[in-house]
Amino acid sequence: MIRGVLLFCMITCPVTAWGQDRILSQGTALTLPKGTWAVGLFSPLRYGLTDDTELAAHPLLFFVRPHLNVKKNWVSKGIYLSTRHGVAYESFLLETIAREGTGGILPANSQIPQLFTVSNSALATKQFHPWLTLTLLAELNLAPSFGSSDFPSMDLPLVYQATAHFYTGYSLRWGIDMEGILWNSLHYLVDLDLWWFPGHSTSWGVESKAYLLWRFSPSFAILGGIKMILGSYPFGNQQHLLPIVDLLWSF
Amino acid sequence: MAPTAHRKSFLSVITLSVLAFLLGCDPFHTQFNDSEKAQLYSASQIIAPAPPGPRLLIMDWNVKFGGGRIDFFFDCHGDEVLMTKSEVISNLQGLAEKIRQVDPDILLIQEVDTLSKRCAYVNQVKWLLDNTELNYAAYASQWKADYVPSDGIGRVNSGNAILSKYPILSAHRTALPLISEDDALTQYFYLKRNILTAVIDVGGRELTVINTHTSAYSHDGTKKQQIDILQEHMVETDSQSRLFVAGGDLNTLPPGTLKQWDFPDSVCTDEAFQADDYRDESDWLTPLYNDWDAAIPLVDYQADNSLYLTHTTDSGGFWNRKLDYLFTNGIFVNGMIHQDTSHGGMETMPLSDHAPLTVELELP
Repeated sequence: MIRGVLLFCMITCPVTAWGQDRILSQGTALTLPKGTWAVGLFSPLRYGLTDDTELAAHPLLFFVRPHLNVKKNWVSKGIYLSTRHGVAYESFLLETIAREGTGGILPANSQIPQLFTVSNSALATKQFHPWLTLTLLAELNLAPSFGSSDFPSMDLPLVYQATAHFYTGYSLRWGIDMEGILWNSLHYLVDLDLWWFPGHSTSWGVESKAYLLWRFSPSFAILGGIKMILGSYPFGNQQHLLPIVDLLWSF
Repeated sequence: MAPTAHRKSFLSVITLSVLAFLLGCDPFHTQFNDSEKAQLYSASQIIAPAPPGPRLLIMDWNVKFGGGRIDFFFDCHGDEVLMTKSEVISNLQGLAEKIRQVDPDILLIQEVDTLSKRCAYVNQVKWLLDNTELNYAAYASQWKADYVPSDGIGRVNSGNAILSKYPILSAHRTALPLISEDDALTQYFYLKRNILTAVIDVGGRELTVINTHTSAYSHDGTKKQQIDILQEHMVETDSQSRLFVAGGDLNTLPPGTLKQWDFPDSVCTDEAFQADDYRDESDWLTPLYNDWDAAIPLVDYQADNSLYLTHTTDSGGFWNRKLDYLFTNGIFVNGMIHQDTSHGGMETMPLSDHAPLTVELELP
């Protein structure tokens, strides 16, 4: 039976879903059942290619940042173990935001190389109780590039951490998610992610979010919550608190 | 699920979302209160000043955020946006050399950055304190944002500062009106002009120093309002029988200026960023000249404009308009624009797009 879907992702950061329900499984080691689709206003479009292989891409972001992620489940007995692999072409988006005037995130005279992100993650998920499912994450991001490169870092929360590997060549992320059913159709998620990008003038970041999700119907859900980012930036350490909200569908 | 449970769940999510939204207001931290305390700094090593003599040397300078003569995009002479740290330090060394040469007791500066990506995040107020004889500073930001999503500017914190050899007793920032013709998004991210006021203990005597930088590009009368508010501040300070020095970059010309428009260094084609026609502003500073003693007396300026011009955006040209001023309710003597080696003993054209102004204030 198709159930409601979830998840919000602030710009770049994938968010975990909850529990045993495979449709609500974006950030977990679980994959969508074969032939199932799930999407959010800000979340990627996901498709169950087989019962243990899932494809994901953001439907709007895809046209300015071509990318594809594949999640493969390897173990699903008691504990779920999966790996996730993705590749993204970054240059087009960077060239788009390197411009004069409004929307110029980077200076117009930036030199953007041919730049890719290759991401590899390991995920382990175990449900201990309907109100407690844990997911552990380890991720390596690589940034192969070709051509001359001269563009400044984007010292924004979330973006800085997620793009640090552009400048260092690689970054590492570890995460733990805790989620479950609070009451009836009300779900919760709390997570913590640690970023490490050795070689950068700043080398770490911490992200944590907490949200409530209400499953309005089996195929529709809304969520709202808060995301905290604590990080080291070229100007020093800073903490940010951002709202998160999303509308989620499955079909 | 029971309807009541549905409603409770729904309300929980909505409440949390609204709370999250409220917490996220002013997400780029660009806003100021109408009146707030200024940020105070002191040098890493305090150099005890000599007891004040009969006169204080006052200096005023728009330092162009330590940009020297790099051609930035906003002047339309080049396309630079961000400086490297070595460029910033090199330019600051030039500014500090001039300041040390003048050796002012009090320095008013405009366009000084404390935490900007364009300046490689060098705190220029602190750097100048640590590389001159000045000990204390008060700073009021006029442009603050965690990120300006335009032209690659990124994070910025830039404003006015008052630096002093003598201790600053108090300092506060007063907000000036925003340019009303700007849309809401521009108003949110763009410059927010202010008046910085500091009370300085000069050997047991209090001196009020007022520093401002009015709008350059307003076509809706905002700049006139800002100058009028400055005048009100001066009148109010004078009515309290307090000795003051007030000035800064007022972005307009004195009465009696011969050349008021069509300056050769104004090469921007975007009408919003053209600031080369002052014909409608010819009397805006008349009340200031009428009521207070000017560092450069109007009669001197009107006798020969060229000796007192303080600004050009063209590093290959020469100063072509006077935008920078100092006034007092006391007595000024020996006002001077440091235009070059023959007027000030050192070339200033490479250091900023403004020339510094100095004057001596007679202490009562």
